[in-house]
Amino acid sequence: MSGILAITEVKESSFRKASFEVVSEAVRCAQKLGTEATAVVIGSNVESIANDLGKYGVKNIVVVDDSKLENAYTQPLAEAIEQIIKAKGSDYIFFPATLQGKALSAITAARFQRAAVSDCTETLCDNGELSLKRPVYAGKAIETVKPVQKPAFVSLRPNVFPAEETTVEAQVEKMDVTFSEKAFQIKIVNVEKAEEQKLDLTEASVIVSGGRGMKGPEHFHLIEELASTLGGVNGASRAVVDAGWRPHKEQVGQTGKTVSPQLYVACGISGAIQHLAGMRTSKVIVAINKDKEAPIFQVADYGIVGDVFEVLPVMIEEGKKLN
Amino acid sequence: MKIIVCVKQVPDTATKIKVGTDAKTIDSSGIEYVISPYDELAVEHAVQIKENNDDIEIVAVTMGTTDSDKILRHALAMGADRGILIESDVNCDSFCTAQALANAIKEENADLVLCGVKAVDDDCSQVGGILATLLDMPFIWSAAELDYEENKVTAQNELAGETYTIECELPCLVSIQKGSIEARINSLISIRKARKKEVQNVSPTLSDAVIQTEKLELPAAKVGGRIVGEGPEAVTELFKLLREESKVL
Repeated sequence: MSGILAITEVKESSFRKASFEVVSEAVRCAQKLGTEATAVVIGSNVESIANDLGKYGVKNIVVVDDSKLENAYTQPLAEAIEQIIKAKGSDYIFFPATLQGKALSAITAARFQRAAVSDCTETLCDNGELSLKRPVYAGKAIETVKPVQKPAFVSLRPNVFPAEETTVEAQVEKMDVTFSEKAFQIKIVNVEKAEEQKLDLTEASVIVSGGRGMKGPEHFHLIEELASTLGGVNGASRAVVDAGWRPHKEQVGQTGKTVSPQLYVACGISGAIQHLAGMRTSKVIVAINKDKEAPIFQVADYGIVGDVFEVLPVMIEEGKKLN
Repeated sequence: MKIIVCVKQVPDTATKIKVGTDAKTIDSSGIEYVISPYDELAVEHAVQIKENNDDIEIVAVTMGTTDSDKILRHALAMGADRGILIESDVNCDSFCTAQALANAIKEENADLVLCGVKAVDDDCSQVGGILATLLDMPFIWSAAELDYEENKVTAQNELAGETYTIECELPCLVSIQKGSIEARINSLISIRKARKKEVQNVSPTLSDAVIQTEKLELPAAKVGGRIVGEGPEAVTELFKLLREESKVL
């Protein structure tokens, strides 16, 4: 059987959200290509959660459940996927374009003398073949590419593809795979949890970002508060990261993170080309800036011209009413 | 010990991208090319390892047009010892690039290979992982911090609020993300010295394309965007629109 494999990502015995999007998109593409989708779950103690994927419309689920994978790094996952691809004769392999997913797609594809088409935002099915659209130059341009050899490897940007729920009875197949000794050369020796668990910017569905207009690091509590009220995470422009107000991991833009949330709120950000590139694929963009000529308003769906220090407190109050 | 750092020239991030006449590649006229910022950090990590340890040689390697000599000289000025320029005018996919790099550096028998987590032009994040696989090396991805000690590297990587510490014995390949270190600024003396360092020009071994570019276009301009109002009075209307019109809340 040819078909599409949807690789899921599991963390502490639950699926990362992007997994459902990948499974759901694989089901939709399989329908258009006239083939079948198979979800793949790999890890230690994962068999019990595999069935959950059925509600995203996938009929076949392959599970590799091996205690060796407890606390394992990426390499053994690639070895497992290689064996599944060979057993199933798959044509397309979809990964979530998380940091891990992109790395995993590269080392898996390389085993087949391929490269993955990374971080795609649209799939196009034509004549039984798949083409993909993906932002390049951090979103300043969009390219359409086609994998010309199969199996073909693709990663899908989180938050872009809907995870549609439908009820199907999924069949779970347990598969045994072998691992080389070399697969475990890299060891995760420590995992330190931050006090507050926050989603990575690339996976958040709501992002509230602050820029120079916030006037100083002491005012970013407004950004954090609005983000948490709206159930999202906070981001920052390059200018404030360079100024040392915020850590680099919060930077949105070409040399930071490229994001596509459902809602992006830019506060006191003028909209340098770098920043616009990193966030313009967001579904809905809100800009708050006191300069009505700021470039950010050209990409915004809704703008408020005003002082962030007057507007943000009212937004936080309004946000609280939603809960 | 030998460290190889892979670097790539990319348009300066302030560049406004224009599509070329072939509708598949960018119009490169007037573009200023620089070393990709994450690759520059990879060079910085290599140089810091060299500064703190004895007997370390750093080789910077790139694949690109002859102009790429400029970014190799940049890496040499930062502290790399010599360079390899794989000369190619062909726009090739990540596999083809990784294959050409692997062939060019295989005989160097590097202990540690570093590269940026992604090049800020095609944003693929693929070459590092593929190159590691072709060189039969373990691959640590997206390291924000990197330490080297006694034939072993320790990397740190932050993911969704958790900091992972990862260890691997050499040889291995590490892709570099931004962390606490900054790339140094080259002095005039170091730039002058870099001009005299050795750069070896080699021809690429090009494998068949596995990914084909069909089209390159600019993103559609936003239509229907509007100013909801001025000041805090506009907030109620904004939330109404977010709930009822765009349905994101």
